[in-house]
Amino acid sequence: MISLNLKKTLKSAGGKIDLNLQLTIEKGQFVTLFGESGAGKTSTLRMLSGLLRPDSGTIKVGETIWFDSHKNIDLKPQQRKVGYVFQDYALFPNMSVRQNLEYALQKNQDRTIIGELLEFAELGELEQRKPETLSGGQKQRVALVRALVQRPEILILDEPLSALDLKMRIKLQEYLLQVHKKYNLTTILVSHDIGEIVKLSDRVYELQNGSVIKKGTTTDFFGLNKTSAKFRFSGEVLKIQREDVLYVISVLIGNDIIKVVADRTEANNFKIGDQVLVASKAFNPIIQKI
Amino acid sequence: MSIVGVEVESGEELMSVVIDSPDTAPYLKKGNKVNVLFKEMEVAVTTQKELDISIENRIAGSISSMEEGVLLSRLVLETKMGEVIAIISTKSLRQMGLVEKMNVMIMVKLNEIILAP
Repeated sequence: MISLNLKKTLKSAGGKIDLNLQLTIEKGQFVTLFGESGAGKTSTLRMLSGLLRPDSGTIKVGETIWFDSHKNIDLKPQQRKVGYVFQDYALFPNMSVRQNLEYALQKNQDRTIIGELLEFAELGELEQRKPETLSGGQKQRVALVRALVQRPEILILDEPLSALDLKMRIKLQEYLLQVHKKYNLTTILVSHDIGEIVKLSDRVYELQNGSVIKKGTTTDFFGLNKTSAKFRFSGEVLKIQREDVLYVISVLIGNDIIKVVADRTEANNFKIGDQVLVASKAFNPIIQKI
Repeated sequence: MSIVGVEVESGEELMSVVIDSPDTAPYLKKGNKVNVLFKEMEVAVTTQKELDISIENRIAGSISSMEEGVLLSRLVLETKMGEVIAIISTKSLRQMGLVEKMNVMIMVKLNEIILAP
């Protein structure tokens, strides 16, 4: 269990916010911090990993206190078992893939982990390559396994996939789930992509102006449980087209574009780019072998 | 699986079949409020009051407005439950001779009704 109780005055381009946050995350869960830019998501994660010092508060992970302003406890980042993956990969350009991983090793750490991780991430053939010769997806795989070198208990993913194209994003989402399970991690994701959040996380916490304003299981949080309909997906509106007396709304769900017929009273509520839930009764779809 | 009877505010009863049971979905409890959703395309319209057909949900209504399209037509029906929209083929509309102010029965099969707690 991770218990955060953090106070910090944050200054940003948008002004000053007083972060005042209480958060508990169960061990082994995959959770998402959701909210507008400047809400305090990244600052919270930086405080958890020891990159930013809270003004006051406590951070407790399992039975260990990582930070306590009253008792003057403040573990260094390298003493905290946290793997951090950034949106921009943050790889060392002058080092090969293998060297990037080796650089993350702690003193006297068993080196066999490097080979294991390279194999797991299917990076074996690329291990001598420099980051600039890799694709975005390959770079992010390197960044991800580099975060695992020190065998962290907590994995922090700060918008890790937002720079990638859709196909690569979907592939890496599967991969993140595998990593989370295989290494028994508690994973904290920052993402704005509702489809991605629904696919990956167990719980969602919404932050606004430095506080948690809404939390719940992912399905409850996005209202996905609010109908009895079992055939349901979330996606993004691509096109709204009038056909005869009806409207046809095209929705991107994962890699597929599906079409939903809607009456004008509904169609008027949507615009292109909206995140939507598409649902039907489990009784209606047909199913066929392919 | 359950068949759920829902009493609408106007007193009519609608029926829905859902995969859930009271064990898997706590909202399935007598007296609990739910919203009832169905698609305009799934609404059938008949001019006969007593029709021998396996469609469980029937509501009396009158046509308050009509929009005739090339292939499909959109009917706005005034019922005790409130306004219901039905999309039917323009061919049916013409065959049945539907016109504004006409009294009709609307029908929805129970597998088309979604419950939203």
